Amino acid sequence: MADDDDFYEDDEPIEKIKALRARPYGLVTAPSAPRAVTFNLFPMCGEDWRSLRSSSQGEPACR
Amino acid sequence: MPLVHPKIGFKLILCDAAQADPTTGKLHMLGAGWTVVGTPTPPHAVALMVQVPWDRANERLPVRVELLTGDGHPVLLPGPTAPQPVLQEAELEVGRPVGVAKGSTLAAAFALNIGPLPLPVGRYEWRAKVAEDEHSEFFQVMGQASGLPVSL
Repeated sequence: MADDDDFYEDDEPIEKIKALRARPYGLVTAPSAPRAVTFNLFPMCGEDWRSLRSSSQGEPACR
Repeated sequence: MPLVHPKIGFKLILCDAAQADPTTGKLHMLGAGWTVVGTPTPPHAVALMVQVPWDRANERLPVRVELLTGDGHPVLLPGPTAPQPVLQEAELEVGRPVGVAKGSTLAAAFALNIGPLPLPVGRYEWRAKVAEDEHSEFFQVMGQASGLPVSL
């Protein structure tokens, strides 16, 4: 098996490598997308359903 | 990245109204569990309670919710230029909160509120897909407007 150090670049600081290895399991992480989303699909005023798929997200049916 | 992704679990619930809370991951619902409505349908909502395995935290999970006919074809409603499907797509992602035990299941939520739909009488399906997992919930549209969803 290859030495684990081969995984890292030669010029990577040893302190950084040690920090990566020493980090606790289960890091607290922050998502880049929401964990919960709410959408509203309503027809615009009039007969047609306008932009039903995207631009009506979160918009009221009629103002 | 594991070779086999732990499965995303979720429940699809039809209700009168729903709101997903991005702070807590909770799903707030009113009037859940109906299966029969009149036409045009009253405002209603599709709610997804998503259970994300620990190992799939910090992964963007694609969500797709679509209204289909009873035989699985997309429901098309009149649009400005052409008929359009009734669907919504999104992405969910959960992080690992402080203090949560390793291996815990993490909550996420999705809510789609829909205005009245001029659906012909028949059987319909709300189909949802979260990552590779898919669930459906069927409902029946009766011949006359009932005002509110009813359970028979």
